[in-house]
Amino acid sequence: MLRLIKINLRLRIFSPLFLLGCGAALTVGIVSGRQVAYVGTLHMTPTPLFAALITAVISAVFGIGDEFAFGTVRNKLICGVNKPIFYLSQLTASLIMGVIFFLLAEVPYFLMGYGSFFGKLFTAELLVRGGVLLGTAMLFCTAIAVFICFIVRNRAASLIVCTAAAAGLALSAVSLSRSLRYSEYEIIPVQELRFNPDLGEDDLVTVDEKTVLREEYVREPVRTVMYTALKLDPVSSIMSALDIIRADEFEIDVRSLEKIEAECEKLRTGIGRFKKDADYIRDSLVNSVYYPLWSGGAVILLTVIGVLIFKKRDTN
Amino acid sequence: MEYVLQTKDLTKRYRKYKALDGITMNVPKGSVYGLVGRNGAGKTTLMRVVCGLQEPSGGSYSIYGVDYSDRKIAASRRRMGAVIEKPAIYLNMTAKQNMKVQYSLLGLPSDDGIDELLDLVGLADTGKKKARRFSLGMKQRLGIAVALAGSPDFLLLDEPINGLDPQGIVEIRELILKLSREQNITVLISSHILSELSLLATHYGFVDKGRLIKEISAEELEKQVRKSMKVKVSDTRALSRVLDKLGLEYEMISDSEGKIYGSISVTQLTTALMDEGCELLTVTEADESLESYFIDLVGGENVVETH
Repeated sequence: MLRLIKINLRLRIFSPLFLLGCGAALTVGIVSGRQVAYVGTLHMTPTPLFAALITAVISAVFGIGDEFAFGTVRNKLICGVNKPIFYLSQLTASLIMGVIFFLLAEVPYFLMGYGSFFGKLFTAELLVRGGVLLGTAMLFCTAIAVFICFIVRNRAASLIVCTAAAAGLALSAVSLSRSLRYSEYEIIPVQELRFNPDLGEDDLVTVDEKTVLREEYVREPVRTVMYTALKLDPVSSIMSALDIIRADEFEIDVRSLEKIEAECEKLRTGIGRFKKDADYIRDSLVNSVYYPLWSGGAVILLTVIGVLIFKKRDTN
Repeated sequence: MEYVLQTKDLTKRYRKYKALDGITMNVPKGSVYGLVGRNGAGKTTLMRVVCGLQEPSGGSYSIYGVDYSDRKIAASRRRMGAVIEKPAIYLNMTAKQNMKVQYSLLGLPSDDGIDELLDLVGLADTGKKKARRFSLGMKQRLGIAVALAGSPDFLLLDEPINGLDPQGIVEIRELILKLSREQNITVLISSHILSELSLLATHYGFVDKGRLIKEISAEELEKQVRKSMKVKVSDTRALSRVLDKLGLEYEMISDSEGKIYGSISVTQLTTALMDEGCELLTVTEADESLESYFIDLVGGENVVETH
């Protein structure tokens, strides 16, 4: 297995595509870092992550696609490598490449933005949480790409399916998140029409506010299903990381987990309550650190399915 | 006899289609086993199954006496090399780089032997030229060199001369003969170009519609396809006596017909038969070739390329 991983890595590292990918990831990381350093911002940009993710997926598609296109997968199987080992070695090599691209894109971005943005606005705990969410999401997306490559076995088709899968995962995460964001109740101002004796005419006067059930709120059992789907989607980890590393322009103190928790509590009881669903917001900002366990579990299941399919299917 | 590969009732189904239908074959050690069959007969499928690329739907096979379901089969597979359909090489690499990858895959401690192998297949001077720019023959030879990495003693070649020019065909043929004679490598080679196969094979397996219809050694085949004369006489006992007297090799194929091998003067035979009171009714010269033998076996016309 180790020997196969080494061979796969060597094949990919000595390919011109690797240098191109490294260059692209590094450039995007540096350019995004410079923007943070000189222009300033209050939120983390996902651009370096996307650059790293795209290069990692392309590297996986070409690395695995070449094995099928050139027929060299046969050499491995003929000399006694079993199919699960071949799949896992390709997966491991793709994940290692993913880590390389991730570090190349994110490290310069983070270092350049640390003095003016990250270090000033966020605690180390939040930054680590954000980093873990981004890193794991990227690795899981790469593992999904590897699964697609083994099922499709064609470079061009794999790229198309990977793009469609990425769009599907992103759209579903955004739409699920929007649906789940609504609180069960909302507060609406109650306006009454009263006669104004001074002016001798009717006037609108707000006298109170009323708590009413919100129609958009997703109720059980659909809510649980949607919640589960959201947690299984690695893109929700990326969205959560982007929400965590986001500051308010009126904030003076460094943003911390405690502060986020207090904000969530306000949504439940304080001013602005029922603006959004407090449980969902708390989940996506505080408990999201467990999201990778869900999406990771789904990816492991997908990998097992991929291995079984590859093992069962004939190789030509 | 020691066998490198043995299959028993080997079956491979693709949904309802049976690509292999109970093939039982034996490849003796040190032989060049020619797998003969028309396109779609099941030759490539058989090789894919034997190489572990595809799982059999039924039956079994063993390599060096190890059953395919045994865990030790991986070790047996390491003793074989194969080129199936098209050479499995990285087109974006040079010949030497391809060899290095295969050496690493096999866990060979050093790259010693790569130059010798490339020299053996006539690719020692390709330098930095990428395999993408190789001719079909060169790619085929590189595929064989890759298959030869790790010094296997069993080589499977599926249609290795397909699409090659005459020069390429000669090169591949000489290479296979060299490997068989000098390195005692057992070769299982499939082809539908029988004239080429007849220059190499020591054993034949005739495949049709997924079934092995005949397994025969080249020696036996030669006996069956060599020049002969079919004679029809009024008395086969008299014919036997005459042929014994003349010291000729023959066989009786019916109660009125006999097959005489070698060349014989018809006048001499007629006179001798007359002396025995036997009448010579018809004489037919038969010069059966490998192609006609194969066609006789499977039936049909133009089933193989004869070149």
